[in-house]
Amino acid sequence: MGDCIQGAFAKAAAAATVSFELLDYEDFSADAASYTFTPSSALTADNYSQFLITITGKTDAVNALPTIIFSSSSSNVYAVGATIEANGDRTSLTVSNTAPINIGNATTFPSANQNFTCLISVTINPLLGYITGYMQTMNGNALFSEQKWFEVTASNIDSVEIDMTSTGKFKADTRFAMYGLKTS
Amino acid sequence: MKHYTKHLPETEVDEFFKLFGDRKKKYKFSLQHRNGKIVDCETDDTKIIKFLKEKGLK
Repeated sequence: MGDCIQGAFAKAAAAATVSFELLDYEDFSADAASYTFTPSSALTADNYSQFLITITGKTDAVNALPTIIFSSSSSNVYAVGATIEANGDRTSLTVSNTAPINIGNATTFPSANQNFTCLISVTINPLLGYITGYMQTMNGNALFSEQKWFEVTASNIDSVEIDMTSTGKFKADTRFAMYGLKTS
Repeated sequence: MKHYTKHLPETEVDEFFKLFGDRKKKYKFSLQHRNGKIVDCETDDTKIIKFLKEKGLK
């Protein structure tokens, strides 16, 4: 090749090491109505760019809904998404100014004893002052899935709590895991 | 050239969001809707409940 323009092609940056941290893991040894992960200090946007949460489990014989709280100070939840039936029919879902946010609503969890998987990707938006993220839940029994973007009023994560509504419980061997992608 | 427009009839979901969808007004609800029709709504707000009853939702 002849002359080339200096600087036209950026040199590939050296690969950076990404710190992927297991923040918490719990395998329920018995049926439980709730579980709370409380970090030693509040998780912030300065230290973590993203959080990943997985919940795999089963609801018990009470027809109730699993919910999640991302911070003790969170009060208002906004969400937009849909439930999707086995035949592909979608029912739109809009949540305004309520708390806590459901892992799955009554359409996704139509009855008791439901096996479910929930994957959540969360970040903290300091400009907005909200915890924001995307949640996907699958109910394998009813062949329903639920997908939604959500925003929760809180500027850091000082605890993460999953609760069953009513007197429902998560069955033993339900598992909760939370990972954080560190900024440095 | 003629310009054609089609005005779709308003549905209850359109009405709902015009009345209660402004986030600044802080209405509390969880709404499920399909094809412009309300399927399910959870709320304790009296204005929303009045609207739902007017639309025949029980």
